[in-house]
Amino acid sequence: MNNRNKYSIKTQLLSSLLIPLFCLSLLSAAVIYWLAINMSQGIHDELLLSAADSVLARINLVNNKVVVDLPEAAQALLKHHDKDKFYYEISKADGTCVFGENLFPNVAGTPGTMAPICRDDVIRGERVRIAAVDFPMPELNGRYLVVEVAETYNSRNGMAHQILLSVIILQTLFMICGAIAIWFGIGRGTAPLQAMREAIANRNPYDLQPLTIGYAPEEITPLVDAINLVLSQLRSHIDAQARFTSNAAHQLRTPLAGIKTYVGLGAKISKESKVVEIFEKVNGGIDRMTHLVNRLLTLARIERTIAQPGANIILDLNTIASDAITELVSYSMNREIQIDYFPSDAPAYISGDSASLRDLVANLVHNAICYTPENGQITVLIQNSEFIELIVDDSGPGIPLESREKVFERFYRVLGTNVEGSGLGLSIVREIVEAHRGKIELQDSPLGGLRVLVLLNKVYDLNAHSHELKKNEQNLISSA
Amino acid sequence: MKILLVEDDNFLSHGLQMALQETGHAVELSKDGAEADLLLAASTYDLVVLDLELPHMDGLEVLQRLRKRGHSTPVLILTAREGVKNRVQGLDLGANDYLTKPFELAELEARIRALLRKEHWGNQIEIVHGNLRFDPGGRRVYVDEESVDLSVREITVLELLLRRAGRVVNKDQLLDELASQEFELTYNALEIVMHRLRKKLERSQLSIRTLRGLGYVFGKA
Repeated sequence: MNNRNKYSIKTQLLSSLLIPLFCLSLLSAAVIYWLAINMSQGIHDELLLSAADSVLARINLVNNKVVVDLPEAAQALLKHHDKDKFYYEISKADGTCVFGENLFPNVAGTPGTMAPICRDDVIRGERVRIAAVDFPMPELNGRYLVVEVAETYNSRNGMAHQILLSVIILQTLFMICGAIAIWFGIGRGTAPLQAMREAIANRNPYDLQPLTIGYAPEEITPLVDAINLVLSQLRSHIDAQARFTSNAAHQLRTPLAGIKTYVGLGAKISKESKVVEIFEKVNGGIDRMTHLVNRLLTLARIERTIAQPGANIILDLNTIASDAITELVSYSMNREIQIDYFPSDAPAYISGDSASLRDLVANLVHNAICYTPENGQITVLIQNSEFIELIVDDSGPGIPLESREKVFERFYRVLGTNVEGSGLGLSIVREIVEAHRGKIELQDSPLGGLRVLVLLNKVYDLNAHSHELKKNEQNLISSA
Repeated sequence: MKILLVEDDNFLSHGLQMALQETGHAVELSKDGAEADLLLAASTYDLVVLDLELPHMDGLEVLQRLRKRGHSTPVLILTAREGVKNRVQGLDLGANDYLTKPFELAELEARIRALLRKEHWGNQIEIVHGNLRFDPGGRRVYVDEESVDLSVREITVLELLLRRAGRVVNKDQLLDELASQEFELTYNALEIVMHRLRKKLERSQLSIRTLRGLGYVFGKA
């Protein structure tokens, strides 16, 4: 995921579409330019030829000499453009100039073709276009005369520049519009991929439910199906593993009960105080093992909650908490700790696994009792606001800020505490909270110790779950 | 007393057999549900200690069949499965008590004692806690052998608390039970009764504690 930019469908599509588009656009610009130049050249040549014809029309023969009567005004008319210079000349077929300044280079074989032609040449160091028309002159023994007119390239070049500029502007606009269209097109095309990526990225790590991508196109559907297949396999693996853990833990309980029975019996019938003491130590060890076995069971339940969220039911956290705390009252009274419980006024409905949630409350309250000195105070509060809030306050030593994140790690113990425990309590609490997609925070308690704040998602739409609720209420009624 | 112990795990069942024999009970052992069912049909026991996961017949079925035959022999269930649902199911089918494995031997013995006592003398046995003595027959309460003057209502509340000494008694639960004994009380009336009881039992070594949000506990002061 780190080198996410290394290979992007969007960039790849964009480059593989834009490069050919750019080449095509260059080619089409060249073709358009070439066509346009040719056409304009043709039109200009026509005009130049008609100018030559106009000169031809003004030819007179005076005393066997060729005279052209072309006033200044007519000359100006023959020019296409003020920028261009205009020349004309009349010569014999052999190239001898008969009228004009004899500027035109001689081209052998030009006359006699009876066809008007255009050609390029140079006059006074400037590139010119020359149109030549020949005609027979019977008065001059049937010889041909050639009329040549020439104009410089200024206006033709000007037009060529204009055409070039228009083509460039048009093609650039075309490229920009094309790129934008492709960009948006690709964006729309890859939107389901993006949606899928976001759906996966925004997931709670405990959420193994199938992905649902709205309007997944047929190219994406197999991918979504494949991911969902992996997810379902993962779910069944977790479920199988949890089932195994749960069975193993249950299987452990009977031999533990056996050992406890023998140890209890031994302690009872032994007359040696040292032996009794040893039995008591062994019993303490079994209790610790029992504790671990119970933790394993809790973990297995959490995993099954993750693997089968469908098995969750709607519960009132008030009832769960009151049950869990009631079971711990004798322990707290032994330690002379006062527990006050404030349930919420309205039922605190959440969706979850009742045994795990009971473990959650029991673990938090048990921790509070363990770490609170004698004659201390514990308050358990349930609030029904935007979330369902479970707050456990104690008057114990609290947890320093720097250790607050670490206490959630498995087997971490705050240094200097001499309380018995496996160090699994808070890590399990966090896993239960996260399996229920909730949040847990450690804060300072107004009682002077630690405050544990658990936020759980509230069930708003009770109607949607009324069936589950009914089922569950029956369970609660029968358990009361 | 004659106890039938139904447990299929050899290690645990022999330990339990030894321990119960040590306490002076006659223990008969069965490792099979169907066999236990036959034994229960054939002879009478004072108490049954019943595991739930048994070969051939589930413990709950053994219990159900026992009750269907009309026997009121007290049954204590032992199980490796925890959870309210299992407990409720067992108690609904007529079990008298319920212990989750592993348990303290002393706890098992205490529960067996309580069950046998209830069975033989019903609720007529005296309850003694420290210097406080309750005589259910005469419905009298003594502190340091001096009779305490209590109203019928106060005695009824006290008895309910005494029978669950050390455990939390929920207010609603308490009101429900009082209602079933023809005492319709409101929350406030209950608080007044508690207040008076506390005053009258000032000299006893026990006290009624209020656990806010949870209920009352009768225990050591």
